[in-house]
Amino acid sequence: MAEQKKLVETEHLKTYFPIKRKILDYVARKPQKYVKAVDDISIEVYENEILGLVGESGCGKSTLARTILRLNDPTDGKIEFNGTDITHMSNKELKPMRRNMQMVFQDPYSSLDPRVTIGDMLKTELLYHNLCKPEQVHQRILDILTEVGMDEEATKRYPSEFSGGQRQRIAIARALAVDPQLVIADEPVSALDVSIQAQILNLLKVLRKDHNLTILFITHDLSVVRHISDRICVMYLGKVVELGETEDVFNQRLHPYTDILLRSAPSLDPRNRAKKALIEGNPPSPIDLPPGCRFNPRCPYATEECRTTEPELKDVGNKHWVACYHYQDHSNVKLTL
Amino acid sequence: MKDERNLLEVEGLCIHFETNGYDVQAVQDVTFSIKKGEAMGFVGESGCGKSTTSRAIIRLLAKNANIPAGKIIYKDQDVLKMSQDELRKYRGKEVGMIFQEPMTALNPVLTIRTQMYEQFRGKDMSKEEKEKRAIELLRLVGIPSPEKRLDEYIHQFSGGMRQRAMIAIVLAGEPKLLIADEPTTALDVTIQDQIIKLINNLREELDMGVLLITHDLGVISQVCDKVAVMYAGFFVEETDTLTLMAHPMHPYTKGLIDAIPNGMTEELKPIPGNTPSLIDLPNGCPFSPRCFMCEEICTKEIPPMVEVDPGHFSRCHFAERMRGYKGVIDLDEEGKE
Repeated sequence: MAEQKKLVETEHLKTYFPIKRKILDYVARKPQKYVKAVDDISIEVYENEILGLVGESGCGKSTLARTILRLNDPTDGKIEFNGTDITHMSNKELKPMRRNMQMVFQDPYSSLDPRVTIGDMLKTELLYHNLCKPEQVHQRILDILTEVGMDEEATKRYPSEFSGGQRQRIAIARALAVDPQLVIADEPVSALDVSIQAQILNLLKVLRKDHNLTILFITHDLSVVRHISDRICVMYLGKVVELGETEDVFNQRLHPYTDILLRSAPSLDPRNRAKKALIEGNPPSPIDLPPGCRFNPRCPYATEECRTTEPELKDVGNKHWVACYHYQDHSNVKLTL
Repeated sequence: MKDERNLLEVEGLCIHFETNGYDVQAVQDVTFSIKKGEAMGFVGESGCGKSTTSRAIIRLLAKNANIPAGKIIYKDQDVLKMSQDELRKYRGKEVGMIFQEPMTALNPVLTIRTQMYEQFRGKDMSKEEKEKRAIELLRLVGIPSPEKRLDEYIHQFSGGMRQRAMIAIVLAGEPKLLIADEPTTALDVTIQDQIIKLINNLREELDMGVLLITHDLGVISQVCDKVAVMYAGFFVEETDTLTLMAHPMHPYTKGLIDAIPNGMTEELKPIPGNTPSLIDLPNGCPFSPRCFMCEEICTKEIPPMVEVDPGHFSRCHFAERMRGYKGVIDLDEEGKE
């Protein structure tokens, strides 16, 4: 494979949220605690790829995406977008950059302003970024709407007049209107019905090709991520545990967490029913993390080493990264439960 | 088979809602039965009437609902003719219901203990017996340190634990039939896996009937013996779970199965169009505008539910044409794992 151009690069990125202290904590001089939503993540997003970000709720995938867009401020580390360091840019400096990075949110019912027609919404956006002359705006809006499968009539209507799937198309149109390089799609299909979900996934794939888009696709649905992504990044409690090409990750499942996550998805075959759940308990709180590997309290393979020192994310060949001392190809391993 | 009698029988049920002068036909001509210890599933997209049907079974419909036709018989009792007094004995003790959102279904200002004890009302139990039983139930659903958690409020629980707490409270009434309305939709896959296994084990231990409502065919596969596919208020197909996954006989079921990303196909095959509005259903078969094999008769006559194979019903004029279509699993192949 030829060397791909990096669009986004993060280096040791950290986003911590401080926890509000009670007055007694000040008196007792208890140290300030943090929720470590993103803890030391270094990833690269290449141009024109779809990178799937998966993990359970609360693992920091949305925070990571929002930090890349500078919607959350990073605590430490560095974010580079297209070769420019944007970690400490002011809002004013960021404005021209924002055009290149757009976001599609999960819930199309709350991400569109209910009191603005679709036409006005897109117009405001195009004029704000000075993307076309006022007399061309209408034509441009029609072009964008056609691309996402809507027609001219939509420009005069309000978001409430559309169904969930149509609203998500509009949200995508809004993101595309400014001709961005990077689109972050945060669970864009999880609020939709299966038949509509497939329409939106196909649309995103087509748009990626036509616009040379880079998409960071956040989801908890593994079948969706397998379908749409070129590479997958699996997160657990603020850390990347496995990163690699989609099929490699799905077939080899080097990290035990990836394996359990993939096996947890309910099988469509009623004959494959297991008696016991694959993994018990919940992820630990991101405030009081266990020492060593974060997954060790729930991991079937944990050893003494895992309980004391945290494993590093390392390349195991074929651009496949994993953070585990005991990584192995899990595709043929039978879990003994 | 132990007890061949039906626990619940629903016959020709129709439910209409009156809103703003419109007559919304939410459920039309629904017939099914559930035996003791049997698990049935309803699957369909939002607005197809699956939740409405389940709510009718415990008479929880809104005031503007009316039932112009149909019968709901629970153990020789006509549920639709029950008095408030009879309903009080029926709900909770005979039929229990768990909802998608434990946070809204349970009372946030009462402790788990109080809500659990409500279920014991009318039973001749001493304080100690109640406490013992409550702790036993919490342990049964897998809540750690139940003695402590009994006096906590629902907001102190995590998502998966909330769902477990709700299941425990419902089980306290010792229902013979458990209705679960999207019990795992808001949960992560690993937690979903735990809840599925929990429902399966409880059903076996307590010999409960289960009615599971979901939009996820995977969850259906893992829990249900038989399944009904709903579309725009109609049952469009009904059969045992294995047959449905292997040989669907209705074009809508086929569409639903094809729309699930399975990692094999490059492009998904979504069902074109959107679900119809229940106020203004298309003439004839409700699925006809989206159906790939729609013919003239489909736009004129609502097809009857026909038995295409013993125990396999399909509501399609051309169900026979679906013969030979392979679903998502192959019956000749052994189930994996």
